[in-house]
Amino acid sequence: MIRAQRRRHLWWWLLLGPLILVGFAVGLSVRPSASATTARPGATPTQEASP
Amino acid sequence: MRDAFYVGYLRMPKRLRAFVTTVVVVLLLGAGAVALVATTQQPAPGDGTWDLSEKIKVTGTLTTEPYAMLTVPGKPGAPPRQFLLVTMGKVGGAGLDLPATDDAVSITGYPIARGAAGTVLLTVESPEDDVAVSGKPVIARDPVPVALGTATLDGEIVDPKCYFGAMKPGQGKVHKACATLCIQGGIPPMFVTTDADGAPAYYLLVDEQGHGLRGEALHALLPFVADPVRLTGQRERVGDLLRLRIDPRMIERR
Amino acid sequence: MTHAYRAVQWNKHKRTYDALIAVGVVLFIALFVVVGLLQHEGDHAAHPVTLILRATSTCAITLLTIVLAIGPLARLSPRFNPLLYNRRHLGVSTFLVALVHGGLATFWYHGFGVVDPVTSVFTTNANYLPAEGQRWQSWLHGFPYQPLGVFALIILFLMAATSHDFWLKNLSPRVWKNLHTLVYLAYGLIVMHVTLGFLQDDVSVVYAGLLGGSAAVIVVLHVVAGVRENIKEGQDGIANTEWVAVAKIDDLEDAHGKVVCLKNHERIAVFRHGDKVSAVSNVCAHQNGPLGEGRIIDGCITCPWHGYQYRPEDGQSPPPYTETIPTYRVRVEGRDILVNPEALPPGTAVEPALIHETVGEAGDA
Repeated sequence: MIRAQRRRHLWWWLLLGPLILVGFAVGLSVRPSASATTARPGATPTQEASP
Repeated sequence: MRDAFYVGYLRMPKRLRAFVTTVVVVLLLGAGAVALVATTQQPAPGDGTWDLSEKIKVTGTLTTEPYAMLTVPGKPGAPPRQFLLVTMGKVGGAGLDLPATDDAVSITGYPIARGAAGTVLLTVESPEDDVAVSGKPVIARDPVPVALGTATLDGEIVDPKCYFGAMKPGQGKVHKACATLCIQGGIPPMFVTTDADGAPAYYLLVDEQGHGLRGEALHALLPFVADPVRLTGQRERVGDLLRLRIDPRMIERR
Repeated sequence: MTHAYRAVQWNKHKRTYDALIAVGVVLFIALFVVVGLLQHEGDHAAHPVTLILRATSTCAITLLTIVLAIGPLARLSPRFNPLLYNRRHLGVSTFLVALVHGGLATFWYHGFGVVDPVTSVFTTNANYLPAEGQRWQSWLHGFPYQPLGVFALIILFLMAATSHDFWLKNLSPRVWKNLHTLVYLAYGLIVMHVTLGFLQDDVSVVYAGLLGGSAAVIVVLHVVAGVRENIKEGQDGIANTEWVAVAKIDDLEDAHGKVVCLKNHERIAVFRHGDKVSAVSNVCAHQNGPLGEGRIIDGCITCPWHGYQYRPEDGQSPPPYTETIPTYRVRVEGRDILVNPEALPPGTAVEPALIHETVGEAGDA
């Protein structure tokens, strides 16, 4: 049934669409560059202990 | 047909043709804009180089501990220079089957250099052709380690071959698998961090006794390669290279 | 069509379409690589292989975004149908560009080492599960992103390999359509491949903005097109009695059709051709295209998607083609067109209903 297929299409996107967008947003939020520090020169605070 | 009905194998109606042409032009210009923006926003990958046009020849003393290295006397007043020896692939100097000798050795290889750090590695193409035992006595002694105290440092474990110039960029998540393979293949693990002044600082990673990381110790380190990590260990200066003595089981993620 | 399979049944439109794709892809990659090389001087330039990897990935995602936008756009306005006509060539191009990216990345990042490159793609970063005591953010940041790309590439390969009408026919349109629906999954995998890969190293908002923005557009387009169609179906839904009045004769222009939605039935396409009215299934036997949005050309109902044709009186493609679609009994009462919603077997001949024009209509005289 084409109508069923078309409706499945819509369900796919109602389900998959938000999933993709949420996955993307969560993935972005865990970037170390977005929160902490990186190893790139000049970006890393160094905790020194005394010799 | 007079109206805008479209059939692929017939001539396209005029009004439809104008619309489709507009859409195609917008798509092509849009794609061009995406390419331009995406390419110009790429961050600079650093000034590392792997000069494959000309080999340089360096004469010094071979050591295999902690890793395969060639030690060369420094300029007057400067510490001895140390070159890490690696192969053309993702395999460290141990794979070169270097001669066990205390005599001076000349090595010709392609230099890998990055900015102020200068040449840090030599890539040896063929041990037969590019490694020559001169038969002369030792010209550079093993430098004496200078202890610099313990420190906790934030940074990234890299493979120096890629980081200093073989890959650009040779760090970060995208490069993680390559760096892991390199270190697994015996290229010495290096730690990139910044010193108190914000300048880049590089530490060769060794175990708590100062030996190269191999076997189980190396495997404990591999999952942390290229990730943001925090290392605690004894710092020391050996020749012109810094080393950090660590317990690879104690690496922290940030 | 079914008559004989050739690699591609070329026509002028397909040639133009493919030439535009080829020129677009080559220009895109060349622009990216050349400008990328010029951007940072001397020793500061990125490695050319890195640039090619980035150019092909950006190009493949751009192509896929266009491929995915065409479907809902064509459902929102038939003026986009010419882009739909040869969309599969755009899809195959997407696969080829993605294949260059995947192959080169495997060779470059996983080759030359102590592990077989293909194995390495799956095993060198083995942080699939969080380590003991690891924060979930740190785990997700380090998650192996390469396999996500591999699975997406496998889906694109299956689609490209079965893109020919030969497979459409042999797998049946239904199975084929379902297989090709996997492209949505591939799209999700690719978004996560980039998010958990390149974007983890990136600090600018540009790349995140491009990817997130295009993903949002794709999702919204599909949902809007789907919801709009659902609403249309609900409004038009005519109760299912034996004979149903589906349209007025005066609403039907000559050579045009009308799509009729009956509750719990497939859609029906009602066509007027001269003084005759016929009803057939709205579903094209080729790729389920909406026949009711087509026209009658050379006496045949012509699908708006790929130009497949059927005779209105028996739902059969004219020889030498062999496609058939279900037909419906139809009659005219006064100015009303009535259809019997019971579908007849594909290819069943039905006498068209005749329109007897009455003299004295407004405008006549």
